[in-house]
Parts: sequence; C-alpha cells; structure tokens
Amino acid sequence: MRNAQGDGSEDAALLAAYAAGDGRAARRLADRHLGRVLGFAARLLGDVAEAEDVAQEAMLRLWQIAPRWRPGEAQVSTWLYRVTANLCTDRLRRRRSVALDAAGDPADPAPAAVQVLIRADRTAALEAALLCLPERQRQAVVLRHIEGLSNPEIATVMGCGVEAVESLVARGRRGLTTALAPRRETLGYHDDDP
Amino acid sequence: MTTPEPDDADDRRLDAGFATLRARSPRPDGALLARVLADAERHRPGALGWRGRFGGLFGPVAIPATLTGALLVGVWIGAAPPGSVLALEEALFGVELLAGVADPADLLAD
Repeated sequence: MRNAQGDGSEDAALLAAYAAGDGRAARRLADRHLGRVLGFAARLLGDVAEAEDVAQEAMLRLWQIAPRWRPGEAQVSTWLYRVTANLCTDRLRRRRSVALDAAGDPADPAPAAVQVLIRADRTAALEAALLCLPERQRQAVVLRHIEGLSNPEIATVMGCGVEAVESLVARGRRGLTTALAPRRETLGYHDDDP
Repeated sequence: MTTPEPDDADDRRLDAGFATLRARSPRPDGALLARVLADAERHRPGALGWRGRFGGLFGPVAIPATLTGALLVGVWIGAAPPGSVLALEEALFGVELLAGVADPADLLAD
C-alpha cells in the first residue's frame, strides 16, 4: 500500500481476477494490503483489537465492490486508506458518544493519554501523543510519516487539497513536539540525541 | 513552568520516533487473515450457493422460469383440473373435491 502508484495496476488486475471468480487473487490482495490497513487503523484508534475489526470491515468492502470496480478511477490502496479512515472516524465518534453517555460530562480524551505519556517510553509516548492530536491532524501525520504516502495521495484519501494536507501535517508535527517537549529529560533525551 | 520551544533536535527525535513506529506496526495474525479470506470466499462472484448451482445448470433464468411455471400449473389445475388430476384426487381422498367447486360463471349468473 505504501508504493501506491507503482502497484496500482497490479492491484487492479488482482481485483479484476477476484471479480472473475479467482479466489487466489483475494489471498494476494490480503497479503498486499491487510497489514497496512491494520497498522493505519491501529494508529488512528490506539487499539489493535478494534483495528482488526476495522481492517476486516475495510477488506470486506473491497470484496463487495470488486465486481463494480472501475480501474483508473482510484487506486485500491488509496481507496482502502479512505475506507479505513472513515470506519475509524465512525468508531471514534461512537466511542465519544458512549463516553458522554457514561460520564454525563463532556469527556476530554487527553487525561488518559497524558497518564500514558507519564509512564511510557519514547515510542509509547509518541503513540500517546499521536492519540492526543485532533483526528484530521493524526490521520495526516500517520499517512505522511508512518504510511509514507505523498501529500497528493493523502489529499485523495482525506478528500481535501494538498495545501490543507501540508497544513495538517505541519500542525500535527508541531502538536507532537509540543506534547513531548516537557518530557525531554524524563524520556532520556539530551540535546545531542537524535 | 514554561514549555520548551521546539527546535531542530525535536524534529529529528520525532522522525526517529516515526521510524520506530513504522517498524513496530502490528501485523495481521492468522485468525484475522482467516476471517478476511472467509469473507472474500463468501462474496466471491464465482462462488456458487444453491441458487448459483441451479442457475449454473439451467441458465440464469432457471429460478424465475421455474417459479412462474409452477404458478401457472397451479392456476391451471385450480381453474380446469384435467381428468388425470381428478382421478388421482378420487384415488387419494375417495371424493371429488375439485369437481364440487362451482363454476365462477354460474355464480355470477344468479
């Protein structure tokens, strides 16, 4: 999924083969995309079990759309990222409404993540800081810096312009740096560390 | 307490952190892959359920044609039962049930 442009035609061919009844093509498509769909969902949701459900649902939608897939209109990889992002957004919304119902007061997702920040190592701290970012910034940062998509690809996934993506990524990075800055020393960072 | 200003070192740390996260992305386990492939098999266009098998044997119009045919035969037997049906009925029940049904035209004549 990371090299979306180069693998696009092979993905389209595999999807066409699946639509023609070739079950092995489904296996190849799953091998190529399931890991990245799962990783992306896990970064957005912060929960691997929930991310697995999202990954299964995203792949299910791919199987369902296969007979109606029009090659050239979209890349399979980009389409999957978009479906995954939308599924995660739905789940995060539901999670917020459940939290509101349970607590009765507006819930701030930050405190739990802040607690994680305090005791986590560098990677866990970065993961927790990612979860503190506003959702659109988090999507943009994950797609750019973890999934390795280009800004135009991210714009397609997120349904916005390239300039908006640049802004989201920049603000996201700034937010992460700001969130982690007070913890430089406790995370063992010194000025000459990478 | 003030928050330290972000600097180049922060950017480098962030990029190093992203690289670590990339390497530590979760991998799909066998159970998830099995679930995904089961979905794929269920929705595979060539996969045949009973409808698909029946349609495959007799063509895509087999099911609607069979249902329509059964309906027409049912109406025909109800409206004008052939002698063989009446004989079968008499053999099974010993009475003429169908012959006892009045002709709709006679009912309207009164």
